[in-house]
Amino acid sequence: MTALSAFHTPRHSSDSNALSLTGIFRRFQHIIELNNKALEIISAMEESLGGAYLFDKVFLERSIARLNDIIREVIYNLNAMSKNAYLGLYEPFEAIKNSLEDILSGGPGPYHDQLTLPYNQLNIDMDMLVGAKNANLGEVCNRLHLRIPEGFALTTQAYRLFMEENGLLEQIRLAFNANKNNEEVWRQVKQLFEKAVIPEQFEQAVMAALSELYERLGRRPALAVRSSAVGEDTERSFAGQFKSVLNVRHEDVFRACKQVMAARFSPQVMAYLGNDDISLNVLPMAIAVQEMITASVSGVIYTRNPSNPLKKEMVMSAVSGIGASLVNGSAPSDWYRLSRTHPFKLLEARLNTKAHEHCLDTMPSGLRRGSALLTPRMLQMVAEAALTIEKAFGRPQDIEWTFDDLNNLVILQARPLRLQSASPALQTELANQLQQLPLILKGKGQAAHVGIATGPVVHVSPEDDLTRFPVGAIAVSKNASPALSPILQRAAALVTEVGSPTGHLATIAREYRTPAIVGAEKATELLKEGMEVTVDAYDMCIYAGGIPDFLTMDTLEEDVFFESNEVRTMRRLLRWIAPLNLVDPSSSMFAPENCQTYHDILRFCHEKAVESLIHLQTLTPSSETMSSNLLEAPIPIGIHIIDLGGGLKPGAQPNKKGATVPLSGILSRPFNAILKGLLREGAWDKEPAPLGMRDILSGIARPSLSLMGIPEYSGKNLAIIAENYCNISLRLGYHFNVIDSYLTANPDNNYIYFRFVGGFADEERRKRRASLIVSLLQALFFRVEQHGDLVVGRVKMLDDQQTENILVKLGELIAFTRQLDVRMTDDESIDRFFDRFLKQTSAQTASVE
Amino acid sequence: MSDQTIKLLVIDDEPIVGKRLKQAFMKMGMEVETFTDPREAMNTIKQKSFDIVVTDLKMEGMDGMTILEEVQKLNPKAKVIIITGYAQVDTASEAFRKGVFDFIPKPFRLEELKNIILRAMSGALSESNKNI
Repeated sequence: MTALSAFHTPRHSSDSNALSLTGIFRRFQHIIELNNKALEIISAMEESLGGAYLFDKVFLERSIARLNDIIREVIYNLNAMSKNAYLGLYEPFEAIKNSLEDILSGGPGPYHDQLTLPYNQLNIDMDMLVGAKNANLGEVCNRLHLRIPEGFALTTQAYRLFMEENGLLEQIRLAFNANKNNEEVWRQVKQLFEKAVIPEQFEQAVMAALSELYERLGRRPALAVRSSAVGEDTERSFAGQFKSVLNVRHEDVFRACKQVMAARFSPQVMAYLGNDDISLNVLPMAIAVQEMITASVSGVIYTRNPSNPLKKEMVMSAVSGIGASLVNGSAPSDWYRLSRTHPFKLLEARLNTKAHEHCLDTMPSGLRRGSALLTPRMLQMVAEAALTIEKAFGRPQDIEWTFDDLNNLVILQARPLRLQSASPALQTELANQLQQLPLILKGKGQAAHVGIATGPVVHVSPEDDLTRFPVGAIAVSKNASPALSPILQRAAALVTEVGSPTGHLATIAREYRTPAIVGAEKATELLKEGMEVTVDAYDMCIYAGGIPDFLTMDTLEEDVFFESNEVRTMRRLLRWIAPLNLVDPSSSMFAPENCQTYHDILRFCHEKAVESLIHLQTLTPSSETMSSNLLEAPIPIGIHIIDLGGGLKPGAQPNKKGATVPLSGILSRPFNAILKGLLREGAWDKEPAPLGMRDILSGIARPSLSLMGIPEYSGKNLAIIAENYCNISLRLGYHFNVIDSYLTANPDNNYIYFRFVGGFADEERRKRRASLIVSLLQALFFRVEQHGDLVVGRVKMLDDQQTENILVKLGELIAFTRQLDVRMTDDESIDRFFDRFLKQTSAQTASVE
Repeated sequence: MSDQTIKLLVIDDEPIVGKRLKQAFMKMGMEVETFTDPREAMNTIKQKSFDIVVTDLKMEGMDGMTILEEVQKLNPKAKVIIITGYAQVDTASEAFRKGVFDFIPKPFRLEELKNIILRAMSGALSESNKNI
């Protein structure tokens, strides 16, 4: 721990009751408020990227200053409510804060003094350091999780070092001045580079990066050494102007690097550049050092057809083996035209490669297998990857790809595809066409990310296999659960019934630039599976059908908003703020040292704050001694109440020890909901349980084994309540329930945690009862884990009405299951009781849905 | 007025503002010109009439308040909307006293400005109807 974190340590010594229930709860509420505030600032920053906001530099500075303060306060409060369990958070916090301040003041940000950077550290906004080719590949690999060659970047810092230590610029300038003949200049320049000495630091950095690469791969492959100039593949493509050296052996790496750097001064490049400014800041040359991929088929895909950009189609060419002959135009290739819509139907194929004759398998019949280089599945894989890249980069793409010898798709390069931009008249025309379509939903929900997309509706929930979500479809779901994150890079748009633009999933939608409307009531009902719809997240409208690909409007704009300097600064800042890496609280990676962004810190703190609260009754010895009052209620159990504030009506506060609280005095919203369930007629099954000798014997042995030493099970039934909160521990017969719930008007804050354990019957029956509870909880939208007879269910981010209805049902469930384990003699009884429970309760309750 | 193209002028010394507004309002079918230099913008206003002028408040060379006054002299029908990163109550009320159509602090949702401009347009429309 650093001295710094010690400085931040909350002190409790001055107040021995600092860890009181009220204190913890107040900290919790404060964290919730701060969390919401921070997410609002983050989403305002992100929405400005998505185009919903208009912002300026003052806004950036102010947002960062406020975030710094809030995050620090969140960490402080979490530590204050958890006996300083998370002091490790201060280190990532300080690191992130420093990076942000550096970027804001126009600095190069983290990594600026590195000579090499492995691909797993690169992203699209590092192009000033590693060149566009490397930066784009880093994005493809690290954000989109597509395969690229393993490798590393030699940065522009390495280029500067090399040029300066050898005094190369002066000598090149002399060569330029002394000669009129371009070829002669070029011959001299090449010689200069050949003779130049590799600086020691440069050499060490490359050697270290190479051995790391070999270690990662477990072998020493041949290498590809390629140009990755700053400015290449962005403002202008420089396609084919620079140098790539292929099949480089380990000992030839430095020679290849020199050739690549020299090519920046070739007559071709000088002519393309159109001026002879050779200073270090003009077109500085970073380098890509990659493993050579053993290619079976290679090619290029354009995500739009340049000869008809408005059509919903992509074009693609392929050759066998490596793609060099394709991009330099020296060999015939197969050519395909594909639909842009899943499943990317083949519209046309022209098979020109002579390669078929010798590369295709000859079958025993003597006939050759197939006729095209690519199978339909391979075509689809390339198309999916291409559209994923296009959406993430915000414009049509020109992508080089290859299939390796194991038939893995590997992306070699992705750069913007230059197309004629859409005229304002065309844009207006498209807008008019859109408004002619039949409206399905209008004005419902809020934009999490603006944009327009057309596609087929696919209903999703966190239980689905999310990796199989069809690329380009419209995802429609009930809740904005962060568990849905994996679909966001594949979905063309997202629509949820519940959720707000400040929720976690909304933030992730913006990370992938997926147009998203959250909180659109009835979306799952009105948007039927398979229906083609157009989602307009600018105006919160959803139309039936589509017009010829609305993406056109955004992607064909001349002046791409995403590429302006202001937006790039914002995006560089947001890299350290918005991405969420800690998604799974049950993973061992869910730890302070793995927080890479402010969002990670917030997510971590939120989760741990809820956890501390759930274990409120174990954490605080004071709950035993604090005065509690018995609730007067016509139920067969006694519940003692501790009010943390706002849980009881002002007049209902008991004025002396031992006084009771009338039912009518409860104000706590979640507790009232549970009570409503507990009080339902028929909820308590009053018949005595038919006990067998076996049950009694196993019942006697059990408590000493599994229930001792868990303080929250040992005491009385206790409800700790506040206006929007309750934490209830109930001991009913021999089983134990804990319910912890926070219930507000903002769905993002709402959760219910439910735990059930123990019982008085043999193991089989207890397990059966646990299975019954699992099914019942699942029917109530819970995500459930069961380990033996321990059942833990969680439900989050539903709106207040739904959350309330579920709490009522939970109340009934608790009463109903009181002694069920003794009665559950066989597996069939699960279904029988399930039906009975539904029958008993559904007659009286409004459906949760 | 209704069947004519609305002419919008945007002045802000941060280029991103003009860029963004141009994109958004061209989609609504307006004719949009943008300036980062307020003096250059004034030269254009002197030669050409605009229906709506959206201007930043604090800029080098000339501030939004002066632009408001100048525009009102040259073309009293034009609606002026001031956007600013430094929203202060007294500046806002001064602007309203001087006849600004609306005053909006940055950052704002494009939607908000869109609504203000729609109001400005319908205002302009009903005024021209009155004249008939």
